[in-house]
Amino acid sequence: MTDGLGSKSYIYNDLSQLKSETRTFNGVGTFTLSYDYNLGGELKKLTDSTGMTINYDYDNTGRLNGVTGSDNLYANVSNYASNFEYRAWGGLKAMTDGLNHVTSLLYNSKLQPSQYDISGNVVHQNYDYNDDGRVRFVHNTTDIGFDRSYSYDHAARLTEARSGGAARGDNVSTPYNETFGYDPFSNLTSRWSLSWNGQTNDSDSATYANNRRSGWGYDADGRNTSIDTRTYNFDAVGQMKSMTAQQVLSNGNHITVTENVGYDGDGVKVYDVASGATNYYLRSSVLRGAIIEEITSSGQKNIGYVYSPSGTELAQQSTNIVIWKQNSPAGTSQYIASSNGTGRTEFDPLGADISLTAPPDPPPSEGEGDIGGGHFGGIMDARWSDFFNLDGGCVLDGVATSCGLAMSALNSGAASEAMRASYYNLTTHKFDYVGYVYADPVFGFAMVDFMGHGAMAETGKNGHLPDSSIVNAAGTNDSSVTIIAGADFVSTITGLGSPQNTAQSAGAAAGSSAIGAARLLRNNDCSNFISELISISASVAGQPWSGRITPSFGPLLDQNGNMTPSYNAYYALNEYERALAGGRVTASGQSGRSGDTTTYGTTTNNSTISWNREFYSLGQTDRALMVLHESLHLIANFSDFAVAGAAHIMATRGTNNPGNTGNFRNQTEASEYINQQIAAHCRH
Amino acid sequence: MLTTTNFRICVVALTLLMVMTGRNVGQVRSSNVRGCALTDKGHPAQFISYEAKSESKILLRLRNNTDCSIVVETDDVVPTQRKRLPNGGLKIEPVTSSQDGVTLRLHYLVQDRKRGEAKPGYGWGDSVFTYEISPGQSVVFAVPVSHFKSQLDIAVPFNFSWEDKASVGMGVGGVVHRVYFLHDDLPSDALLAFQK
Repeated sequence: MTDGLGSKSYIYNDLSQLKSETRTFNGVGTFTLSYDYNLGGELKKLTDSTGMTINYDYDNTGRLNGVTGSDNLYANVSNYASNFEYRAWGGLKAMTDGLNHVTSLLYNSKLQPSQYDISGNVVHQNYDYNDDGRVRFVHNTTDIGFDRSYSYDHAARLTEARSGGAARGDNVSTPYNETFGYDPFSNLTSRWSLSWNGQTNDSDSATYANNRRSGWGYDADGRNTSIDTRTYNFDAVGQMKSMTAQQVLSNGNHITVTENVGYDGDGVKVYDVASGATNYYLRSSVLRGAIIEEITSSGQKNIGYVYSPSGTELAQQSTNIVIWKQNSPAGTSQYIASSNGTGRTEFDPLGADISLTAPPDPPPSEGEGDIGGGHFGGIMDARWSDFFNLDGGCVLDGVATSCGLAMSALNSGAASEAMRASYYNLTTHKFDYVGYVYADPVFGFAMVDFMGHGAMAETGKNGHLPDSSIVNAAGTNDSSVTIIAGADFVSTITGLGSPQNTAQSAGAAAGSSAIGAARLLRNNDCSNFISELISISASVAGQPWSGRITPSFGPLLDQNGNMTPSYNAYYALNEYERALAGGRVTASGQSGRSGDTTTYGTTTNNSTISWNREFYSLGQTDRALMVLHESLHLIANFSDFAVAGAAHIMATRGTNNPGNTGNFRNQTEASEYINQQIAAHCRH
Repeated sequence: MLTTTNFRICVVALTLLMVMTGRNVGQVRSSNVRGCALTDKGHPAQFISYEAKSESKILLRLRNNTDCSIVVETDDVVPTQRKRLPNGGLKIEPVTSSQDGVTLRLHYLVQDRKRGEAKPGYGWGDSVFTYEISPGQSVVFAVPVSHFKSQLDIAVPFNFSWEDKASVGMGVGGVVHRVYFLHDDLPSDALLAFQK
C-alpha cells in the first residue's frame, strides 16, 4: 500500500497469518513489526522495530496467563503481567503487573464488576448500578473526594455527573459537578460545569437548526468547520487535516496554534504535528490498529506501548521507564505504576482531566482552548478533553471535536469517558453509525482483553472496528468486541467503561451485532436491497389494510418514485437501536430449535425481540444478518409474510412471473426466504 | 411528621396487623385484582371445542370462559372475520375491534400424549403477534386434518393479560398456560368425512 506519507508492505506465513508488516515513512525511515503464533492461532510473539519482543503465554484453555519481554528489553523489564486468575464464566478475577501490584475484581449477579481493587492502597472502588445496567454510583474508598454519582433522563441520557461531596450530598470537596440538557434530537443544548467548589463555574447553551448548532460553521457535507475562534479543515475524503485556534497564555496574550494530521492509505491517523512536536504512529494490524510506537521526525522510537493480545494497553515505555496503566471499570480513572511510584488521572464524563486537588490559582476564564496550569486538556492535547471549554474542548480518537458531538457519542454508547474515543469510521473518518455500539460496563476495563479470547470477526480483518467507538488511553485508536467463552450473552467493547456505556449484557451482545449489521449496510448492494425491501414491504404489509401502516412511517417513495431519504436502509436498524435502548431486545435463554428448524430470534408485535440461545452461537456476520432480519419486523405490520412477499417481488422482477409475492405455506418458509435474500445481498 | 419513634411504632403495628390477619406481605394482592371467575360455570375456564370441517382442515374454537382477558399468539397482524355476502359468497375481512368468533392463525402445539413432547403445530416463523381474547369471547382457528392422530392432542399456549405476555407461544420466560383439545374429543364423523 502506497500513500502520501510512504508505504506499507505485508508478509504472511503458510497459514496466511500476518508474519510481518513494514511501514515506511518518507524521509523518516522504515519500521517493521513481526509476529509469531501458537498452534491455536493465538498471538505468541510481537517484535517491534527496535527488536524488543513481547511474548504472550496462555493456559491450557487458551486464556492469557502471562505477558513478558525478551530480546532487546526496554528498561530491562521482562515481566509485564502475570498470575492471571479467572472466574468460572471467564471473567478476570485477578492479575499482577510487573511491579507486583495485584488487581482483583468482584462481580454481581449480572456479571457487572462490583468491586475493583489494586493492592498497595492504589485504589479500591465499589459500584452501584441502576436496573438498566447503567452505573449509578462509584464509591472510591481510597479517595472519597472522587466518589461519583450519575443521573439519567427518560431517554437514558446523562443529565448529572457529580463527584465528591456533590455526589454524596455532603459538604466535602467537589472536584467537579456537571449537568447536561438535551433537545428532542439529543443535541446538547445546555451544559453547566463547576470545579472545585465553584472555583470555576462555566455554562454553555445552544440551539440547533437542521442538526447544526447556531453560530457554528459547517461545510456543505455537514462537517463542523468552525467553533468560535477555532477552524477545522478537511481533506477531499472528509478527514480532518488541520485545526487552528487561539490559545491564551498565562500572561493573557493570545497565540495561534495549529494541529496538522496525516492519514495512511486506510484512512488511519499515522502522523500529527501539534505545538511543534511531530509524531509518526506505527500501528499493528494484528492488534487491531493499536499504536505500537510513536516515532519522532528523526526516526527514533519516542514512546512504546505494550498490549494484551486483544489490544488493550498494559504499559507504556517512555524515557527509559516502563509505566503500567489500568483504567477503572467505570472509566472514571486511570491508574499508573512505575519505578517512580503510583499515580492516577481522574476524568469527568467527557474525558477531561480533573485536578486531584484544587488548583492554587484559578485557571484563565477567557479565550478558547486554554486550561489551568498543571494538568492536561488543552486544545492541542490529543489525550484528554478540556474541562474549561464547554463547547469545543472535547477530543475523540485524538482529534479535536465539539463537546456536543462527544456527548452524543457518549449517550449513544459509542464512546467512553476518560479515554480517546473514536466513534467515527476509521477508514473514512466520517462520523457515521453512531449509536450502534453497545458496551457492557462489566468489562469496560481491560478485563476481557486480559483473558486473551479472540475478538469477534467484527473487529475486521484489518484490525479495526471502523464504525464504532474506539477507546483506549494515550495514543491508541483501537477497539474490539469480545465474546467471553462460557458467557453466552456477554460481549463488550474493550476499553469502554463509561457510565453511559452500560447496556445490559444480553443487550450488549445484541447491540454489538448491530455494529456488524451497520457494516453490512455500508455495501451498496446491501443497503439498496434493504431500502427497497422496506419500501415494498410497506406496500405489501398495507394490503388489504393500507390504512394501518403507522402514520409516522409514511410513504417511502415520493410521487416521482424517489426514495424518501429518512426511510433509507438504516431505518430498520434505527428501530433496532431504539428497541435496544428501550430494553425491548432481550435474550430468551431458551433454545429456538424445533424439529428441523431453528428460530434464532422472535419479534413480537413489531415491538420486542427475543434472541434464542442459538443466536449467540452464530458467527458475527450471521448474527449481523439476523439483526437486519429482525429489525425489519420492528416496523409496523412487517410480518414474515409481508417482508418475504416483498423480497419475492424483487426477486421475480424480469421473470416470466414478475412482481408476485410468492406462495409461502407458513411464516417459517417466509422467514427462511427472507434470510436467503438478505444473505444474497448482504453477505460479503 | 413521621419521626423515628413513631415510625418504629408504625412498623411494629403493621407487623402485628399482618400476623393477626395471617397474611404475608408478598401474598397480598392489589385490591383491584379480584381473580378470575367463570362466566359459564358449566364449562372450564378455557376450553376448545369442535366447530366445523373446512376443506382439509378442522376448525376449532377456543373460548375464554372467564371474566379475565387472555392472550394468545398468532401469525396475524390483525384477525379476520368471515362474513356471508348477500349473494351467498364468503367475505373475509379484518377485525380491528374485539369481537367474538374472529378467525386467527393461532399458534398451537401438537402434543404427544405418551412422550409428553409438544411441537409447534406449523412453522410460525420469527415474527409473531399477540391477540387478546376478551372475557367470554372466543376465536376460531384451523388445524390440518393431518394433525389429528391417535395419541396426539392440540394444545394452545396462553397467558392471562395481567401476566407477562411477551411471545407466549415460544414460551419465553415466565408461566405459560395451555388449554387442550384432546384427540378423543373430535366427533367421530369429522375425520370420516376426510377419509372417504
